[in-house]
Amino acid sequence: MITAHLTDAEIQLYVAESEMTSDQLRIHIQDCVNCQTRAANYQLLFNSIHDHAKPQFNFDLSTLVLEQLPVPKRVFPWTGILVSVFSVLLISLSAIFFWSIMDTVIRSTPLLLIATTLTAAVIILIFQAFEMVKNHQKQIHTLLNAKILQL
Amino acid sequence: MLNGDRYAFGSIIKKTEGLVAQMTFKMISSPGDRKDIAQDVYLKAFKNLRGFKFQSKLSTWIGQIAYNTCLHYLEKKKLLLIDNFGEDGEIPENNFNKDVRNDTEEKVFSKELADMLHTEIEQLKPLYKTLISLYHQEELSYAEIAEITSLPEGTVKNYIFRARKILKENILLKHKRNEL
Repeated sequence: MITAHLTDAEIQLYVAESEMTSDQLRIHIQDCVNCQTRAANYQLLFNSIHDHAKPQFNFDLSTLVLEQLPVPKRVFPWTGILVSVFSVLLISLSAIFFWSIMDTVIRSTPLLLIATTLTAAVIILIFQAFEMVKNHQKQIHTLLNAKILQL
Repeated sequence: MLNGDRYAFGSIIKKTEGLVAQMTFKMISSPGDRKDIAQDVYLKAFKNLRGFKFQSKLSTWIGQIAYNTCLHYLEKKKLLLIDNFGEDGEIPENNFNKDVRNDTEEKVFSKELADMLHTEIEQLKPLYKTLISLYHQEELSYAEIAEITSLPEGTVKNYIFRARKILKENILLKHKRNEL
């Protein structure tokens, strides 16, 4: 049993995080009027700080900030379109020029090997899609947990 | 939003400006500078939104930006963030007689606390009043405050303990002066 009065830090710990205090401290406070008073005073202080009016800006911060943000430019996605067209052309030309070779390769490859390769590719794609969805859900969860956005 | 949607960003401002207000009011004394700093915080946040890695809450991330912006301002103005109480960090207690002190404490805390609190909080050093507000008013955990301020969790806890003690001692001292 603790006989000396508790330190200020111990009293604060008892009031702010009672679950963190040892049983010995709790027993002492239950039997000590002096420490009970000090704990009650700290409790009152904590409650008063909590209930104290929160500061607020006397201007519309959101409007002020949004006015200063750069307006996004609507640009036509030329780069994306050019890359897509180039890719389609490349694949088509390769298919036309190398068709005889590809035809021979496909015919000489066992059906089982082709099926296995395709299945593996599809499985990899499914896993990647799952990973993307999981990652997206994790991000949304973080935002919702933060109570920042009502999505 | 992470692609820079201005209107979605508006809702982020609305939801987090309380935290930013808390920090700017506690760390910056000039109302004009507070306005500039609050805007600066969100302009920085918008600019770096793509850098948000979802490793912490969005509010914590914005809190970090607000804290660092205020800290930079204080450094520029050469203002003290905290007091120095020697190496052991002991805060001197008022020299009241123990019995009188307990009696005084009871009276002060039950009657005049609300009146004195605002003035006394304002007189604390910027870091102390910020930490106290984040813990007691914004109800952030020690870990979240540590993340915002980039201070070790133990240091945050220690500073909050000190700040409360200083606050209590100052309230008692003021009451004693008023009585004389």
